[in-house]
Amino acid sequence: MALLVLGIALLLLVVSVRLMRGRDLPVYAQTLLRGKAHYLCAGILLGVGFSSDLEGTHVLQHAQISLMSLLILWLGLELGIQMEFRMLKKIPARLLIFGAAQSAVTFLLTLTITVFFLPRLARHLLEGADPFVLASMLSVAASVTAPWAQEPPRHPPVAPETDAYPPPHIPGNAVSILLFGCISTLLIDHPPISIANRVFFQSTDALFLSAAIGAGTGILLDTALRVEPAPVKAGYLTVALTAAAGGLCVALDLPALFVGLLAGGWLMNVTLRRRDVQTFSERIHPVMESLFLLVAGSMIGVRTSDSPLNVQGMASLAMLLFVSRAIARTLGVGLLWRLLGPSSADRPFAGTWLLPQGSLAIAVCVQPLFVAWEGPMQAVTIIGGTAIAVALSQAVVSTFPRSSA
Amino acid sequence: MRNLILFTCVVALAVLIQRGPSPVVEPTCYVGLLSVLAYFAGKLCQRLGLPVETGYVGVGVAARGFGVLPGRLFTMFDPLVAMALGWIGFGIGCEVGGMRDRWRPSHLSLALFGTLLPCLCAGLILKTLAGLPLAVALALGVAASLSGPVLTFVAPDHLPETTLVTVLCSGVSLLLYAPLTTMSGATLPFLLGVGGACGVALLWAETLVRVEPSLKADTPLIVLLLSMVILLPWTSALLGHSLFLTSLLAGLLTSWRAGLQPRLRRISAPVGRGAGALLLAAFGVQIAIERLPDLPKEVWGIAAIYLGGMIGGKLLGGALVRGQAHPYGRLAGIALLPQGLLLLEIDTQVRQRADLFGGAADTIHAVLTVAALVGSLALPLLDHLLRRVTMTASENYLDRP
Repeated sequence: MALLVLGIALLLLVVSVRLMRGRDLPVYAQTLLRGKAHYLCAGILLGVGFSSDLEGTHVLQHAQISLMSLLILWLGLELGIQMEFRMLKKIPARLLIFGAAQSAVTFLLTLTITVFFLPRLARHLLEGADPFVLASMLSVAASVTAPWAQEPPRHPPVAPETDAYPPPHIPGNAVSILLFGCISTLLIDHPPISIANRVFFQSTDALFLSAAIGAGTGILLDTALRVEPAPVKAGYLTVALTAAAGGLCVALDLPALFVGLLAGGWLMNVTLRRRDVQTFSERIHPVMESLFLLVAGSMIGVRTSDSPLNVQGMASLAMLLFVSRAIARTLGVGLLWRLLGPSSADRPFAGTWLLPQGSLAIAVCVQPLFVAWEGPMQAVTIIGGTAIAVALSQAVVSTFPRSSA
Repeated sequence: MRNLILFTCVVALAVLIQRGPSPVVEPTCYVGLLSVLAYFAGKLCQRLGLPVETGYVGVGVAARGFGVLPGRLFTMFDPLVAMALGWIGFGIGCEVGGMRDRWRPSHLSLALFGTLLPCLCAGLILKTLAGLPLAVALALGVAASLSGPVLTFVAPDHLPETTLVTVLCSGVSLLLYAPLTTMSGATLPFLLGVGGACGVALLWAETLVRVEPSLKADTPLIVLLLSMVILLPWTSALLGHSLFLTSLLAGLLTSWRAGLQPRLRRISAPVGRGAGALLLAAFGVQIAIERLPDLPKEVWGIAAIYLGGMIGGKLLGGALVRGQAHPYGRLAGIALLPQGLLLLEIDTQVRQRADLFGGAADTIHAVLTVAALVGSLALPLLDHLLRRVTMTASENYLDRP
């Protein structure tokens, strides 16, 4: 069965590549491809195909979980690497506040809408899960944005110019992930964490432990970069330390995105090799992001073998997330825009509210997979619903005129 | 000083997270830590004038011996090791395929001599001196004939031709495994294995070749290669063929198209070097050093004969091709390249088909463990010395009018 799926998948890949070569795709399909939705689909297909054989071979199962821990931390690290204070200072203070506040407002408004409608639309999702925690996670997923709508990919990848204007979505995403870190540690009931004969019971302990691991990883990464001048070996050390921290986060049920954000932020603001870090990050991030979506898709695919797919729940969750996000962002950004009243010179920020979601939103919902979501179908429905909402946000944004986006 | 601080931090972290009522057993965490330790061990060896691969294997052995890694984790490294082996095999295949313009009949003759003679030499000596059955003696002979292209790939200062010849040697060695299975009447599994390896390799190569022109960015190609590396161990386990042989063939067939080779090499080489360090460290972890004192004396005797037969046979093979006035013929040291994880692959295959060898499967396993330890730590030193001598000899040869 699995071999058949593999053969069909490869055949489809070859045929689709042949068919698409030289053809103009519709705009929404182009934006979906740019958002790497095809990796998610390929992952689901592979997961479904191999689910029957996964019980016998532990190879792929271990690889799936191990890879995911590394990849989630990388997404956080990548965001942290963009948090260079020297660059952020270039942004006018009121716009910085605007960028951060629009995420917080989107989070709060989405939370309000989701808490009200979630028990009515997707009651089955709440079995064994705290509705407020679920709504909070979905709201965080709604408040993060993807940078790709404004930045076309560059081939070959290069480090950004030193005097370039930092992308406007960064402060907002950072606020969202900080919120996510607090929710993951303070609201979700954790089993006791033990490190070096010390047992941590309190949620605040988990928060401080996450912050400590994040800062520690940042320090180790900085030291590693000072030790090794060769870029390839420095990259090897970076990936190795990222894997170590990611594995630690999965083992201790700590939010890897939050840890990665702190580690990346520390590294970028302390290191002497900013340009090397940026170049390396620019080279490796597309691969990591694609792999993340592939593995996330395969996790959905594998779990669907246990019980039938809850299409209705997934669709209702996706619609709830999509609509509530649209309302929250429109209202929130409009309100903030009026309050702060930026000048016409701040045009790069004008379309921030139209930015779609990306892989970071899916990572927010995948991260608590082993802690908060009880059954496999609950996890599949939540991740699948978020993925559909992300795809919708990407497809819809392409229909707006280029000038407004 | 910074090296020491980072090294101490990593070791302390590895030890600390194992303490307490619920120690951390997540493989990714230890893989990351082991990779960092391997880096430092390689760097230390480089400063001491030793080959880096000795450091990589040594740190794995030490990590197991000193309890830096938890015991229950040793088998959990298998998937990552398998993926690393698949990637390296593919990278070596690409490299060798890219050198096809340099292929000469003398390379094949060198590979054949360098493989057949150690196999026969070690096998016959083991049969005569240790009184082992012919199938068992030849199984050890095949293991003895393996060379270590993995190490050649990791060490960038090797001659490219050395890589080519060692890859050919390993290919011949892996194919030599055929008579062992056919001798016991198990022709079908062997044919299925070889057929499966060729089929899977051809499938991947054809996919890569057809899809690659449409993939302008490197990212999708890397993801496709990684998918291949993740899926290869699974297909090899399912069809019972050699993972390394399959990935090697896939790389060879893919890079046969001239336009593809530079791009694949650019992608696979940096990852391959990192994967090589991890692979060798994980290989060191898999050597059960704590069980060595409990081994019976006969096993040590057989292991000594095995190593003697291996080195003697390979030197003999190298000496025979010297007559061709070939600069690489002087590189009898190809014979001394440590065998790396390929040895464990043969060991795995022997254990999987233990019925073919009767009660001797355990003996083979013990002998191969000893040989792996000695071969990985001592032979690189010997190889290093010999390489320096032979490199000088080759340079003199090339410089002469």
